[in-house]
Amino acid sequence: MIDAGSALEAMLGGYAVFVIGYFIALNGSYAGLFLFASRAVLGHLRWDPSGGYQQTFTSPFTKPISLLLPAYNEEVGIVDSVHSILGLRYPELEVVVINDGSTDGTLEKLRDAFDLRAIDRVISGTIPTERVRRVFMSRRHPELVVVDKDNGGKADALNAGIDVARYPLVASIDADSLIEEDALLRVVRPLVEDPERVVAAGGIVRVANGSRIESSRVVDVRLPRDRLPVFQIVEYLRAFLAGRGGFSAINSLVVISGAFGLFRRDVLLEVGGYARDTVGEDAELVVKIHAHMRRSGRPYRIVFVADPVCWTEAPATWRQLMRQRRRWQRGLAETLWRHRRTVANPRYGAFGTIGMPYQLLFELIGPAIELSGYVAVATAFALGVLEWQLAAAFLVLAVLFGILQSASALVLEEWSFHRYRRSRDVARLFAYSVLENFGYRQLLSVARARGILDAMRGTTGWGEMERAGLAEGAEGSGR
Amino acid sequence: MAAVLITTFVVGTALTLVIALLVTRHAQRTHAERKRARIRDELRPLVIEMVADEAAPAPEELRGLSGLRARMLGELLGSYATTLKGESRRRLVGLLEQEGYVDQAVAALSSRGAWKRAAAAQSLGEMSSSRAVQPLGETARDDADPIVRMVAARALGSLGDPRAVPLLLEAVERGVPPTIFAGAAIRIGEAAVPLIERAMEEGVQPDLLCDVIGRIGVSDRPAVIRRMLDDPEWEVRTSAARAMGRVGGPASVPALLRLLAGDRWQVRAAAARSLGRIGEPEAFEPLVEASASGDYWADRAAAEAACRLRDGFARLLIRAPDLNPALLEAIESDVRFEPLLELPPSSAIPRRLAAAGASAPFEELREAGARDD
Repeated sequence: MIDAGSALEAMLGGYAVFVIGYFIALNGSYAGLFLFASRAVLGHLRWDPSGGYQQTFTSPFTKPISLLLPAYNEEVGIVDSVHSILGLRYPELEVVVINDGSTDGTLEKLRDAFDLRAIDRVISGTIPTERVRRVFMSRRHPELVVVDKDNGGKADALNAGIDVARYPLVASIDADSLIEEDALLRVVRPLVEDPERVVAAGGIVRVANGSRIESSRVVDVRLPRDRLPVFQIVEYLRAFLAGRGGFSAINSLVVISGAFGLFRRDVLLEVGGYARDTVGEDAELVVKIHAHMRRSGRPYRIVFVADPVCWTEAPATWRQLMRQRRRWQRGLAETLWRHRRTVANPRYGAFGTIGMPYQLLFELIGPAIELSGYVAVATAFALGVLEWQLAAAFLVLAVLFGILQSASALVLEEWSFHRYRRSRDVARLFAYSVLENFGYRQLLSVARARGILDAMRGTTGWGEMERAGLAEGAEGSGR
Repeated sequence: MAAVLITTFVVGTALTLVIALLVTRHAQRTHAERKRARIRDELRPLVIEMVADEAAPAPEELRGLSGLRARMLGELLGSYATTLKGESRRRLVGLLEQEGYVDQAVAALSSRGAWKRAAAAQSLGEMSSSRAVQPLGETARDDADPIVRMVAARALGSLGDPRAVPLLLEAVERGVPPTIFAGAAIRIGEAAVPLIERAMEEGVQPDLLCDVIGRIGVSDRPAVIRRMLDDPEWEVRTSAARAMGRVGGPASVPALLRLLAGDRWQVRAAAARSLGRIGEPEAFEPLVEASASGDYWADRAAAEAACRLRDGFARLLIRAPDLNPALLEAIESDVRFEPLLELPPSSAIPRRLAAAGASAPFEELREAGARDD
């Protein structure tokens, strides 16, 4: 007869070995990504130590861009957003605002501010969308087009924008994001240098909370007083500079942020645009492009450019943050499920054998393994099968690895873009890269685990988006 | 347990080093930025004084500098050299050469560090000295680092010297993006055209070179490009069609009209745009016909081109209400459409446009027409 205690001990022992192995694999992968990312970021800085992009601006080979701005009930900030985008430094730009069936005064505000008149714009209809009611052009700004359509969600709005766009490159941004003045010049560079192969490029998203904003531009980068956005700043540096930079270097970038991405329009049309039935439409699009290009056998690259910056408002309350992470995790799960045949499939190159397995093993199920690890450790400890010294040592090791990851990202930031100029801001960022290991990460794992459950249950919808807005003047929001 | 402890020790050590690196780098960078700002503030008025007064000799304070001050001066002078023209620019470049900054940067092209070589190439581009053509060309062709090659090629282009053209073509063969060559050649301008056309005749990168000729807008031998309109590769035909719009003139119209009937939408669109740019009225009917092929982007290009032709806009208005959607959009997007909205609704043009399906304010006319029916 099997001794239940021995069986439990064996199970816990086996699970402990698994967790240790998982932990080594996770941190080893991150270290590899970090090395790739460092090489790419520092190489990029060699390319233009002065940081100027005058030649990109004046080159006739810099292709024109249609910049899509989906808007739903944005009457408060839409005019400022559009003014800000019209002021972007780029030789030839078309701004397509897609009013996605707003129930407030978004369209009226645009009409009044930009003196719109209706035109009979031919829409290719390549990607089916909800009904487009009217298309307007601005008398004052001929480069501005406004599409008024029935509500269909963000993905549907972007698809309508792709259909209406007249230029070979399409960029998508969020209405509440702030794009730096020469961000387009920076993000377009890979597509200028390698127009045949590069099909998409994404920039870095930074947290604007606490920074000083004037005329919709971040003029002084600062940390917010509140703790929660500071944690997210550390996280974003880790995720973007190290994570995305690393994946981009091996052509396995799995997501370009919906807040700021640039695509070749012909490729978007080939893949049918954004998927409407997922909350992770930005990741799903990029994965879909990878799969499509691999299947068609055409050489291609999807690139992360660390230079061009989009500033966004990070959630300032736990409720907003948890909801956001739950939604992101659900989106990731939906994307992985939809494209499951690419996972660990050598036919899809590094994307299939490295990028997608990483997302599955570490990003998707990582939170579940982490939380189950805590339960296992606590159970083992309670049953007396685990030495407290070993548990403590492993915990210390895990925390040190976590700090090392974030601190490395900070060093890369300091070595490259050096956006946080104040010594106390850098010190505070380091302090938070320590503190995040004592509760912040664990709570996010709970939210992410719930996101996986949501995906399994087939939950739909985005939920309510609450934003305080990035206020102009002395300090942006952070309260 | 031992393994865990050892790993913890190793990771702890790594973390300590990372923290030290963070602190050191931040302090170093902050200090360097302040120092550079201070030096820049000292040197800038002297440089401006020198630039403003062409007759005065260069200030003594700008001579014999070394180290960071010399590098900062080189950067400042270089930044002004790229924006100034004529005698002021020659003086600046002369000072850079005389004070040895150009030679220092040329020597730095052989540094061990790729970062230093790239920075040296960048500075040579800014300093605009013709002494840098050959060294930059060799770097663009031969450097082991692809980024250094790109920076050198870009810098070479900014010198505006036609001697750079064959060197840049060699750099393209070694992986420098063709767009860098193209940008450089366009900056060099007309002086680059004979060299480029010779390369085209030798079969080097015909589609790229066609595009470059087109952008420069000058050709000594347009017949060379005209021959490429019949090239078996559609990319070459597209580039040649684009170039013809700028260098071909009315003599290119028959060849471009032939391309309007081609099978590739990219070629048809490029031919249409060039016909619109050339503006000859004989292209009107073929363009109107080409705007209804069903291929969205080619139709749009043909419609816009028809509108651009000499008297094209007026002819399209007369043609209304028989306008396909692409032609209607082309008219409505044209700046000349705006005044038509002020016309009395009873006049002929608004009535024709309403019948063609144009949007408000002609909607009322359209509805009125429907009621009359």
